[in-house]
Parts: sequence; C-alpha cells; structure tokens
Amino acid sequence: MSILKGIVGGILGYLLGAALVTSIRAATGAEPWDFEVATMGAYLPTVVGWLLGVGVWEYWARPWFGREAKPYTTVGWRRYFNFDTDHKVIGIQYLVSFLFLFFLAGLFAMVMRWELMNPGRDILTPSSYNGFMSLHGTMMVFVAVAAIVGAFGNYIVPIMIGADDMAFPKLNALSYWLVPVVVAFLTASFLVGGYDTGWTGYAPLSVTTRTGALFFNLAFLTLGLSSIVGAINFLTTVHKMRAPGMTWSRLPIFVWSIYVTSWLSLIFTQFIALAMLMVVFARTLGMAFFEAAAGGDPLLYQNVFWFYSHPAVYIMILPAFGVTLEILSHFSRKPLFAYKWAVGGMIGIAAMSAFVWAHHMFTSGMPDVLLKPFLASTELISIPTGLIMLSALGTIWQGRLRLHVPMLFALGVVFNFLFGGITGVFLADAPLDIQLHDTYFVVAHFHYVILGGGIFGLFAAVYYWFPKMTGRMMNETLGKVHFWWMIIGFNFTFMPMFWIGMNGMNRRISDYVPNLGGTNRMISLAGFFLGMSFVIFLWNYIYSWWRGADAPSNPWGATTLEWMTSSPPPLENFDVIPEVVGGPYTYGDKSAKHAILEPRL
Amino acid sequence: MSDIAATGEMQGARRIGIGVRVVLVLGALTVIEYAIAIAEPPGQLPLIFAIALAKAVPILIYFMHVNQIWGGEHS
Amino acid sequence: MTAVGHAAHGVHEAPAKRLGINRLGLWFFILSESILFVGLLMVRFSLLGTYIHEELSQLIGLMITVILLASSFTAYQAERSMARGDLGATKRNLLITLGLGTVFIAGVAFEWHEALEAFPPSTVFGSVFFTMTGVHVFHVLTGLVMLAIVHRRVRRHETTSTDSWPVEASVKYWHFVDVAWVFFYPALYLIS
Repeated sequence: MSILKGIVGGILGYLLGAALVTSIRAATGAEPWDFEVATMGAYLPTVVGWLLGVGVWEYWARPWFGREAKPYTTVGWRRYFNFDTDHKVIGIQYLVSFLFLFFLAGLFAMVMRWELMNPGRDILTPSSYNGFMSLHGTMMVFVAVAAIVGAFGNYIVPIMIGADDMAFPKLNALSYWLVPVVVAFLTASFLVGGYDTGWTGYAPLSVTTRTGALFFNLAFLTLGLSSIVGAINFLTTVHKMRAPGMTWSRLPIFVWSIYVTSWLSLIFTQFIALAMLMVVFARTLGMAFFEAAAGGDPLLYQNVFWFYSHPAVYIMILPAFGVTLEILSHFSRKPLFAYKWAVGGMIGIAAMSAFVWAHHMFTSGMPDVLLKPFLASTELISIPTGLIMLSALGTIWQGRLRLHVPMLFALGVVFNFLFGGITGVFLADAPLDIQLHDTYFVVAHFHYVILGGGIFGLFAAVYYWFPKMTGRMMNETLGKVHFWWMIIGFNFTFMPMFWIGMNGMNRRISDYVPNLGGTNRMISLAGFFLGMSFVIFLWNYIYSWWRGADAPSNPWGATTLEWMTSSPPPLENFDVIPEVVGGPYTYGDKSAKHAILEPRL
Repeated sequence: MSDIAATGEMQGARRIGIGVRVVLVLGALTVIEYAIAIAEPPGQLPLIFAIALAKAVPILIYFMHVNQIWGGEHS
Repeated sequence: MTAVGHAAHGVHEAPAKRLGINRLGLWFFILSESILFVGLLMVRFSLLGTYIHEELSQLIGLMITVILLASSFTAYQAERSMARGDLGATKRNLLITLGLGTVFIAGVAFEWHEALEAFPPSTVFGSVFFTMTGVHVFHVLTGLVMLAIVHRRVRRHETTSTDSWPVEASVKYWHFVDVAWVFFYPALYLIS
C-alpha cells in the first residue's frame, strides 16, 4: 500500500518537475520538450515524491507541519513492504533486495557468456552486448557496495554493540527506501535502450551516448545518497550507542569493518556524486567539463570517478573481511589473532585508499612522472591488507576448526582473495599494467577480489546469521553442496581468464580472435556451472526460511552479543541492557566473559 | 530565582557580544580580501586562502560550536 | 514484536543523550557535504587554474557575500534568543535570516542572467561557475526550507526552548552553507 503511494508520489513528482522544466524552456524560447533535460529537472521531485509517498510524510514529516505522526501499525510480513524503522526489518529488506539484484545481474552475465562461447556473433549485437555488460557491472557493483553493509551492518551491528536500534532509525529507513529508486532508474535505462559505457561511465562517451546513460548516472547518484545517509547512521551508532563497557578494543571485528567502511563512504561517495553530476550537466545543459575542444579535460572525469571508485573497492571488500575474520574466530574456537593489527590494517587501508586512484589510469595518457608514485602507493597498500590476511591465517593456525558452511565460505574468501590480491600487485606495476590493461587479466583480478572475496563473504554472512535473522536453520548438506559447487565453478570460470587476458583477450567486447575460442567455451561452461550453484542456494534459502528447523539462540556456540538474545531477537533486541565486561572472542579461557545479561537491581 | 535568571540574561548578553565581534571580524576580513584581490600583490593566492581560512575558523568555533564534537559542550 | 510497541520506540532514551546523537550525526553530515565542495574546488583549479572571466561582476559577488555573512549573524542571534527562551526575538531573527537568504538567491539569479550572455554553460568557465554556484544555491535553498519550517514551528509554539534542536540544527546547517561560500567566494571571484 505504502509502495503504491510512493509510486504515485514519484510519478507526480516526475510530472511536476518535467512540466516545470518544459515551461521554463518554452518561456526562454528553446524547444520545449527535451526528454533528458526534463528528466534531469524531474530527478529531485521524483525522488522526493516517492519518499514522501512511501512513508516519510506519514511517519516522519507530519510533525514538522504541526500534525501528529502516524503510528506504525503494520504487523507481520507486511512490515517488510512498509516504511519501517526497526533495524532488523531494514536489514532483511536490504538482504532480499540485493540478493534479487545479484541474481538478476548474474543472469546478465550468463547472457554475456553465451555470446562469448564462440568467436563472431551469436545472440547479441555488439551494442546490446555492451548494454548487458554495463548493466551487469553496474548492478554487481551496487550489490558489492551495499549488500553486506546494508543487510548485516543494519541487522547485526546494533545487536553486536548492545544497542536497541540504530542512532537514526528513520534515516535508516530512508536510506533503504532509496534503493528501489536506484532499481527503478536502472530499469528505466534498460527501457530506453540501455547504455554502453560499462559501470565506469567514462566521459566523453557517457556524454554523447544513448539516453540510458543518463539514467545510469541518476541511479548511481541515488545509491551514493543512500550510502552517505547509511554511513552517517553507522558512524553515529558506533560512536554513541555502544552498551556500557563496550570499549573500542572490545568491539567485534565485524563492527570495526563496518565502522571503517562507513568512514570511506562518508568521505569518498561525494566524489561519485560530483562525477555523476558533471556528466548529467554535460549531457543536459551542454556543459564543457570533458570537452577538450572547448578547453575541458576528459581525464577530469577519470580522476574524480576513481577518487571515489578506488576507495569503493575497499567499501566492497572491508565488510567481507570483517565477516571472514569474525567467522574464522568463532569456528576455529580461538580468539581473533592479532586483533589490534587487523583493526590497524583496516584503518591503514582506509587511510591509504585516498592515494592510489590513478593506478586505474596508467594508460590514460596521464603524466609519466605520476606513474611511479602511484605504483609505489598501490603496492604499499598491500601491507595493511597483508595484516588482515595474516590475522586470518593466525586465527586458523592450530584452531579446532568446525567446518560448518559459514566457515567454508570464510575459508573460501581467504583462498580466493589470495589470488585476487596477488594479481593486484601485478596490475599495480605500471609496465605490466600497460600490457594487461583492458584485458581479461583485469576482469579475472577484480572478480577474484569482488566475487571471490566480497560475494563469498556475503554468502558466509548469509549462512552465519540466517538462524539469527529468521529463527530457522539452513540445511547444512545443501549448504556444503552449494559451497563446493560455487568455489569449483568460480575458479574454473575465472582462473582461465588470467590466461586469455595475457593472450590478448580484450574486455568489454563481444568478439575476439578465433584462436581463443576453446578457452572461452570452457569459461562459458564453467560460468553456467557457477550460475547453477545459486539455484541450490535459492532453494535452500527459501525452503529453510519457510520450513527450516527452529534455530536456538546460539546455534554456533559463538561468543558475541547477537548470540546472547533470542533468534530472531525481540523488538529492541535485549530484555535487559547488556553490560560488556571483556573482549568479544573469549575462547580458551573458561573464566572469561564478553558480557553479562542480568536484570540489575 | 531572579538571580539565576539574571545570570542567564548576562551570559546571553555577553554571547551576543561575541556574535557581534565575530561578524565584525568577518566583515573586516572580507574587505581586506577584496582589497587584496584589487591590488593583486605578488603571492595573493595563498594570502587570500589564508584569509578564507581565518574567516571559516571563527564561524566554526563561535557560531557552529565545533568544540561540542570532542565533548566541550558550548551551550 | 507488536508494531504498536514499535511506535514508542526510542522514546525512553534520555533527552541529553538524544541531543548528543543528533549533534554528532549532523556533524558527520556536514563533514560529508563539505567534501562535495572540496571536490568542486578541485575541479575548478584543475580545469581553470586561477583564471576568472573578466565579465564576472565583482560588485554582485561582494554584495551577496556580505549578505550571506550577515545572515549567519542573524541565524546565530536566533539560536541565542532561543537559548534565552525569547521566542519573539527568535522568530524575528529567523525571519531576517530567511529574508537575507532570499536576497542572496536573488543576487545569484541576477548574476546568472548576466552570466548566460557572457559565459554560457557551454564554455569551461561557465560550466565551473554554474555548477559551483548551482550546488551552493541548492544548499542555500534547502537551508531556507529548513529555516522556514522551523520558523513556522516556533511561531506555533511547537518548538520551544526545552527542545530547541530544530533551531540548532537548521542554524548550524545555515552556518555550514556560509562557510562553504567563504571558500567559494575567493575561488570564484578574487583570484586571478
């Protein structure tokens, strides 16, 4: 119902904005109707109209105008389709939305691999191939940026620090309800013919190409807004909402990872907003930022874009590291090895991520004198990353490993990220990068990092916290089948891409030299195999949610706070405010305690 | 009771004093800034940005109470 | 559990704690927004160096700068009067601030009108000028909307000195918009 109101509000907003723009154009004597200019002008009214309709007006804004806010009366499953401020509802909204987006983008990848099975043209035109490639990339990047933070950051972080909710519950709902706008804009871009710029949307192509690019820009802008609002919320929550005794050195590592990630989102997301704004203005108002002939600079876009998008890589991977370290400790029955160094590694990555962006631009024609500093800074960032890997290995070392499904996925992250990380060092090396740039070597590298690290981390988190979030257990056997199927499919898909990349297979193109046909066919088959593994996951996920065995409050025997309350936790999470008295990983010391949950007199 | 009210009133009066002082400083700096831009002395760029910084700092401290971030409650 | 209990959510927390949370959140927001302005300054210097189009009106620039600085002062006065419990002075100062903000926007609009002839958006200087002033004016507008809502609330005694957060928040945001202009003004008008 509220979604319907939101849609009406959005449409009204669009019509209002478009009418305003059109009448201004008519008044100034320009051709009145221009779809892109109208859409640009209608962007803000559309988003505001949607948000007001979907619940901001009823539950939030009414008191600003002297009226009573409506009470939250929705109950049961309908809450998930409503503007609800409970962080646990929002976490599940995020999880389901982004899993949906993930599978949709995965289907696009299947289409691409179908086309690439043989050299020459099969099912797609070069242009529509680029359309699928762009949407696949964009949606997967959005999933990687927002899925773990949105779903588990929201659901788990407040419980882990012993809070009753996030610091700003209504802002939290707002940041989720911006996500449907993102999806709507991406759908709109598809409907008006897509775009062919890839998720990076480089100018000047993005300025001159099809109308779909405009919607891509607006979608990215909206996701950025959602990220910033979320980041403000997480930072304030971790600063202000910790339970008594929850000092900074007692924070679970997952909380740390979300905290550090939020700093990155808070600072750097503004640059993607800026990059998208400049492209939108260049498209609709004819601005000359990137037009060399008028004195603009096409490289400006790349600089601003990567100034966000390289730190964004850490926005994608740090939460996955947090999940991994968290799980490794609980399932190795050992305290996290070198906790402080792991935290330091995360902070170090975040701090250094501002100084490495131009390694994406080694072949762009930037001044040669800048190659070496960016080579050096990029290779230096592998040191804090190495600290995190060492913490992971040290935690497993001589642990009593319990190889449940979450643990398998966490180990998968460590295994896959090793390849992703090490090939990153290759690409940081300017002479080598000039050879490998825009080949499948790069594709393989970032899929090892983002899919092998980030998405494996996402699935580790799904399996780990599913009992807490739904009150039901997932099927262990199906989970193990899914893990082995996925990791085998994944490695057979992406490992050969390093090889074809070195042998001259270019990325972002639907055709290639005939002698790479055999390997490409094998990659495609492995890719379909990988894709099918998610059918098992989906079945397990849906069936377990519906009919799974009841989950106890602490099925894994873990020590952090979220396992000290029921599954799923009650409203406001704890019946009594927990008092934290020790570190989060109290293994190997029977007398140690993380928190006391007793009604105080 | 009247004592407390009077103290509050006095504090208020003094703080308005601070506000006036801040805005006078801002005005003076703006005039200097403008004069420098007209005169174009050598090295005006760092000078002008130093002045901009000098304008931003009192706004942050006295108008926005930036100290409250690290716990110094200002009001 | 029940959504009815949910409505009372967060009510039991101490007002002082809520104020601290609100303040910190607003500061994070201001920090984030200031990065957008820093980014615009970076774009300006990377594309244009210190170039300024000679037809840019110095007079209007100086005038709107003084107006915005003055509005920060009246906003400050509004917050102070609120702390004293003087609702009349609060309303008056908020109203003056709203007026000054509107004059600022009118000044920019007038300048845009001139600028469209001298350096349209299709030139690089025009692109930078219109984007920087446009983003800033957008923030001024949102600030004005907030101040107007708060003014209405104060007028109707819905915001009182026991819960003056709406006044504090909108005034703080207004000062932030002013600080942003403190850097934009020399970057757009004075260096060359």
